[in-house]
Amino acid sequence: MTTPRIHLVRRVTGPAALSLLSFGTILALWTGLSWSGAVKPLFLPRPEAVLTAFVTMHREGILWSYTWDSTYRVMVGWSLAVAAALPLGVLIASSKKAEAILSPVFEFSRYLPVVALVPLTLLYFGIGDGQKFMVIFLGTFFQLVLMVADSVANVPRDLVRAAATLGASPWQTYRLVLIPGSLPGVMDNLRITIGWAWTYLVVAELIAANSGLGYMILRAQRFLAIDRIFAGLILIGLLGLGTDYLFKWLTRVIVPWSEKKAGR
Amino acid sequence: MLNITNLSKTFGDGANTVTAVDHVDMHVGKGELAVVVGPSGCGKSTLLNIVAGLETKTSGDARIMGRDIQGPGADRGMVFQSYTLFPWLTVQKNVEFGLRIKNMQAKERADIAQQYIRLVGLEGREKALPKELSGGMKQRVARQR
Repeated sequence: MTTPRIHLVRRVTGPAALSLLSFGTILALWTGLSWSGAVKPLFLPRPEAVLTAFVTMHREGILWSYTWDSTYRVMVGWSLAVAAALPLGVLIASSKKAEAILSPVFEFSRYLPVVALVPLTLLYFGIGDGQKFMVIFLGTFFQLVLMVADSVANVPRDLVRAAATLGASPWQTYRLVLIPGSLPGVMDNLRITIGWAWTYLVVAELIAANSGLGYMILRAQRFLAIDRIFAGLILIGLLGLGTDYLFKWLTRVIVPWSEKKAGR
Repeated sequence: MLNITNLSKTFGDGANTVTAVDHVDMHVGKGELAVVVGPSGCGKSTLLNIVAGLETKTSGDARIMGRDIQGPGADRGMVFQSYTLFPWLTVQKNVEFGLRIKNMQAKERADIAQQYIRLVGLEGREKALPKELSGGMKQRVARQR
């Protein structure tokens, strides 16, 4: 067992330090390329220009409100996908009939490019936030339901058999073995898909949006305000990273018994 | 108690048929301890799995207390080769599992479980998770479950 002190020392000098070094190197490269003039400002803004863009956005009052709008849309859209995917995923994993009926449809839908579905979402859901939620939903639901089904199906058969030999009914097997046993896998599925949800933000705010980071990036594109584009991208990246770390932490809290390193 | 008559189990079909259990007779009376020994791959696990109800027989008879074995049940406990403890449950909750299936009250479950845990010298480790236990400890917990 590691003591807290050893743990702290490891954290400061190990992988975290390497990650910081990696980011630092990219920043240095970026600075070098832009300051030296090797890449024109049109294609690569100077780091300080991006910083200025942040400040300007803040002064315009859009930095926090746009961030909030986008976060809200991603969270609601993704949560809807989770609410639908969890029960359906468990169903597919437990019933061959359900699998035969649902799985092929979901597998097929997985490959539909969400961008191409945007006009349909406008038709069916209008131009309000509902349409934005649907885009995020469509981008994550089909993968998530199949991933959840996989996680449940991957609960070791021996555990199910052990429960059977102890007299468990099918319902008890669900509640006491399959659900807890699939939790590490499902937490991982959630963490990965919320990452994907962020990448659909720009698609969600492509049309009929008047706020949000995706909207800001699209507008900046029209004016070739590349510093703003970078600022928006960095912000979305940080938000995605944030939710990723949040889920890694949540996984450790909810599933302390797992021997998997994925939740570290 | 356990009566096995002319039991056979084959896997596969046609040219790929494997006979795992070949017309076996076995009788274990009440209070008896039986040990099945044999070289690796001779069908011991298959035989036990049929008795546990985790495997179907191809032909012959397998009865427990006069009743034909149709599937798994609490009347036949099994300790698995890989212990198969529930990794999300503590030692105590693992041992309590079978009692929980029978909807026994929490206090009663805890008392009985404690007795069994003490029997194998694992008291003090009730709140430990399987990943913290050694192989031998896991085996003890599996048996008490």
